[in-house]
Amino acid sequence: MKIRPVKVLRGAAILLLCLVCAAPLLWMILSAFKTTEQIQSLPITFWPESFELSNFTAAFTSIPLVKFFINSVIFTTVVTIVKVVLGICTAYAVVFLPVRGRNVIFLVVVGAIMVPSEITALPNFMWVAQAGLLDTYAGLILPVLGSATAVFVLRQSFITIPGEVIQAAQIDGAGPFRILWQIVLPLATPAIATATLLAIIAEWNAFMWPLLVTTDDTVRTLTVGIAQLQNVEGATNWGVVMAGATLVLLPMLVVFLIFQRKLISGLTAGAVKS
Amino acid sequence: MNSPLSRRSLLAFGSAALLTGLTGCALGGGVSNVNAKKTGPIQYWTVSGGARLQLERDLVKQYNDTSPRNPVEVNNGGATYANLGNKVLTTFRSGKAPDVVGLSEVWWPRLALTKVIQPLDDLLASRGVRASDFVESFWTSYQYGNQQWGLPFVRSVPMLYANAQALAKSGVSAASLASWEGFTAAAPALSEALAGKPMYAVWKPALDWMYQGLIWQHGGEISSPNFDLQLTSAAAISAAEQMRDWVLGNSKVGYLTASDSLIDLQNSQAVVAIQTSSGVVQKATTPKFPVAGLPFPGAVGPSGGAGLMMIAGANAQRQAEIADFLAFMASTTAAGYAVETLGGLPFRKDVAASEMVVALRDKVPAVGAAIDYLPKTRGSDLAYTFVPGAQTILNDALSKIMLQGGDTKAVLSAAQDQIQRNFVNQVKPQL
Repeated sequence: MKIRPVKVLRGAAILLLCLVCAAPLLWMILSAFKTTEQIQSLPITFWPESFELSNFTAAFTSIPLVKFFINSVIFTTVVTIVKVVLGICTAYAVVFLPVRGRNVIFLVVVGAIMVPSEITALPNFMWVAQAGLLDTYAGLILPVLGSATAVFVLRQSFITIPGEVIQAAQIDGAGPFRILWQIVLPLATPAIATATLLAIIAEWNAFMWPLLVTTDDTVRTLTVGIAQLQNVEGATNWGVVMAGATLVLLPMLVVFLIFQRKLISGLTAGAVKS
Repeated sequence: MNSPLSRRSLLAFGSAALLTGLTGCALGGGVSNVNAKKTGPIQYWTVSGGARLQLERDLVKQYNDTSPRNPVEVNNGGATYANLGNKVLTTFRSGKAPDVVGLSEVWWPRLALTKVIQPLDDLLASRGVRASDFVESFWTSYQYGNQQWGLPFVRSVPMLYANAQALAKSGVSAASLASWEGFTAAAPALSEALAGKPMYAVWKPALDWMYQGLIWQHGGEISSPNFDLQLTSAAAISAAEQMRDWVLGNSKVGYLTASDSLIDLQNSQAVVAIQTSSGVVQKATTPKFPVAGLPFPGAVGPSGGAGLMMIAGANAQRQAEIADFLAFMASTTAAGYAVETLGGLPFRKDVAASEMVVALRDKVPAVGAAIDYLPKTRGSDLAYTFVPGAQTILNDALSKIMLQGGDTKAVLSAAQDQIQRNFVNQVKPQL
């Protein structure tokens, strides 16, 4: 078999890119198993001398990590499900229902993507505080349920579904719900996977909103919780911080592995019109 | 068939917008009112988290055990001062801010100018808390307009950490490092004692902090008490050039590093590093070799750290309850705890002589060096803490001078213009 130089180059480029992306993550995970002394020693040691679990035990004992984890799972699951369901309904209405001015509605929704969350945080906080929902799951979840990004991604996918398919279903007597459930959704799985994954990542990593509405550790999420492992006055134990960060990252890696195939086809969907 | 839906949605949209507007007005109107209605335990927010949060809770438990009129609850309000400060600003208007908050020096002026915190003079005086009991520079670090805006809590000073083995080997006495002349003169001997490594790892994040101390040592200041910036004065220029000469030119004694200079020290890449005294016990007792903690060279120096502030607008009864708590946090008990457990320096004069501190300084001499240094410290110049971004602007200017050399006065003058702009735009209108 002949080895082509182009192929070798391409392989090398891919490998380099992987290294650049993966190196910081790998460094974080490996540091989680090192002692402070090892992390700070020169020359830099890549591989931990012995895989110390003490950083993980320290992370678990110094903050209520399990509670934070459960809160993050609740927050992410509820918000993601509602976001995606709302997104599907909105995108369906905007694309297939004969609503006048639907493009204007869509533009308004897309315009919302441009508004940074820092701007909406204050008014959202005001009403959550007034409603007495601070330090509750409801206060954490309710204001972030709408997602313009999800609507956008799903609408772009729905619009590529040929009108003939929908018309054929209508002639056969299918109503809007049946069309959504049996025609649109199966055709748009990649886009739905993309929207879901984007929502999961956004919610799992959310920091500012959970920080604002929670002061009580019983409803705090993991991102806000592990920030407490840092020490402003005095020395930070980086091994423990890395252990906490690794625990935040791992579930996301698993989710990404599950979704990645769908995600890639979701991102390219609609690139070529058949 | 489309029009009814569209009209209805438009109406819904319009009324929602109107409602949001109205709520906004209603909330904007009654800030003092919402804060006066606060009930329940006194809320204290800190940046401490994890094990350290528990340590602060243990201290507050001592207060709650005295069965006060209203007990105190401690929570982490954000893991950094920026997170906590922003959370306080956001929560204040809805009456959900805490009663007491522990923040750094750059935060209290911002909160004081926006009336989010209130002066403590009368409340503290009524509880017998006297300025004369406190380390002077720590106390005055929270003063503006003849009013006291905060109580010192976990405070720190810059310290010179040195590889004790190299120090002993070189024959350089610790006392000779107490002046900059001695410091510079010791460089060749200290380098030689550590296989020719540079003497001083200059830590970039501390540049502006040290610079303030050096300006004072050269007889100048960053700003006068009425915010007149003095960065183009002869003292400001010679202080910056002294720092430049640490890392540039023939007589350089070290190198500038943005990563933790203490790690360089522990890895025998440099002999000395200047950093905060916070956590001095851990820093001086590294597993590898003994590290000596010596005072910041020169006759005067800066301090820093966290203080406690009281959120404005509580009703009279609640203010009295908060004052009870603040009086406890200003007590000898709390001051001792801040030193022994939280790694701060004694903010009360009487604690320095206590049995516990005497034992601690016997065990870790570096603690003693930091404490003995306290009379030499001075409160920050106003522009340094009041003007948003002043510290970053100074830090960038100093880095530029130290890395590129060039016209020191021009760089400082540009920095001064930038700080002046921020002052005129963001501070002056609120004074």
